[in-house]
Amino acid sequence: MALDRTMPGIQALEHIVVLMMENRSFDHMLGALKAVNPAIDGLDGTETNPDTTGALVQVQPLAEYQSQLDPDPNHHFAAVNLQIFGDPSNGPPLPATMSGFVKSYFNQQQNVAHSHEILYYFTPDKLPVLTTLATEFAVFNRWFASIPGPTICNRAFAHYGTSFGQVSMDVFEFDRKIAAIYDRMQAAGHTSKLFYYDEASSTMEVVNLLQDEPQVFGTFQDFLKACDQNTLPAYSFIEPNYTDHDSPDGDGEMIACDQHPDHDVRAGEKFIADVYNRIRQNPDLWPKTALLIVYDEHGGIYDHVPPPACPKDGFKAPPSATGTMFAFEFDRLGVRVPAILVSPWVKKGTIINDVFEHASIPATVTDYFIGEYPDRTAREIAANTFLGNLSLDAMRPDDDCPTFTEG
Amino acid sequence: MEPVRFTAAPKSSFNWDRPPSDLLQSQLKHFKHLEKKLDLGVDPLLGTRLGTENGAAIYIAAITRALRTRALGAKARSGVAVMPPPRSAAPASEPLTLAASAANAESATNVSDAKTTPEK
Repeated sequence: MALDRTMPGIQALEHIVVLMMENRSFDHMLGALKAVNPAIDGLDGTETNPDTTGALVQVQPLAEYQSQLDPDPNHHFAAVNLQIFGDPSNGPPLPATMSGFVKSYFNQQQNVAHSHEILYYFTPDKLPVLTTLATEFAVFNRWFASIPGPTICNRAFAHYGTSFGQVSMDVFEFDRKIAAIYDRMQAAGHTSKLFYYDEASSTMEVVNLLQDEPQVFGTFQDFLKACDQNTLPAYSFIEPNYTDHDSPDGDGEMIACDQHPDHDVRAGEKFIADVYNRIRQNPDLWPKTALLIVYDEHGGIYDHVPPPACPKDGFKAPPSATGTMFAFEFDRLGVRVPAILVSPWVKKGTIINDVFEHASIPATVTDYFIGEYPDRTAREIAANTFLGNLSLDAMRPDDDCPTFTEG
Repeated sequence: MEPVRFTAAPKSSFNWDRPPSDLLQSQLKHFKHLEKKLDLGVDPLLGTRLGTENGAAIYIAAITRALRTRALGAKARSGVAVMPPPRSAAPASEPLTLAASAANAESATNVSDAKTTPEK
């Protein structure tokens, strides 16, 4: 459906900011919110997976910030196939039962008790930033990873609307017939930036963007400065810190804030709060900005919603790439992830039930800033866009929108 | 509305000696690919100290800066040391597996696997 550009929130909109976190499923982070609002498609506590002894194991609200999901749960294509279909080698027409998560995690350590922890989820009090934003603004009930696979190919969908046939973390270079959203914006006379945390964390978009187009990159400090100085680009994409490291600038210890297991989830909460607060606290920026917080993929962690089919994107990954018995035609989505849309023009408690995936990001940015743009995949062209949720007739008052503080 | 309070991660959560995750190893593989392809002039020792997150970060910072310098047209600096020296012992050097695998162009780039079949 075409965006209604007469809405006041759309007429005010000058900036779209996307923050993409790492490797957590919807149910793991937000599933407990079903108890707060039954319209949020989370967990009721009765969901189960069989373990390798045949016993049915229930989900439990016992997720911890760190040291639980170690080793990092497998989320490569074949493992995700097992998680979704209960079979590592065969996919559709098998039903997507979402019943293979415990078995998949067992495969890594052969520890039955430990394999149950893949079903653990957070209670809202442990994630005050993420769950407050989800309930105060708009939460997506059906935002899925673009591929049932790992990080880099999923993140590619956020930049290009396709992964160019990739389902893995392998190096790939492409022919640039499909431009990155940053190139599209530049060609159309709009500003855009991809902000990595710092040089020591850098970007996951190494080979195709950092190599050739370093001018599209900035650091998180640059992002914060741009927020303060009213120089934020029309489109910003933020990557979190992927490593515990010393600051290249000598500013001390930089703790990983990507929430990738086994990094401390609290550092990611603070990072999300920092991004939100910086936008929120600038009265010139806040009314003009839409912030999307989304996770790249589920990281092998349990979610109960079967991923739906989607339009093919014109590529095909062979069995040698998928590690299964079948080729993958990019005709179904990955596991569901947390996604939240923030703006003072979004009605409190909005729940979005349409299907979204990461191709929705370049689709939304292209649609809003550029308009008609045929040189992209059918997948992106078909993807839903999310700005229609900035639908309030008047901006929410300042004291109706949360702020976050440490302590 | 009262500010919502959150708890920061404790100092004990920080562990720069943590072995790189699968994600980080893949990111390193991508940087290795470019280092080899572009002859960036980065201190080769940095690429052998990738057994910890901090070791990986030192290498990533060097390559990132070299790539940006190169592509932005400035004179590339060789052996860029962009990180302060480690405060404790040097990062563990045991996992040379990334360097070893990167030395094998096939496994480092997996370009053959990456070739997929455009249908249009």
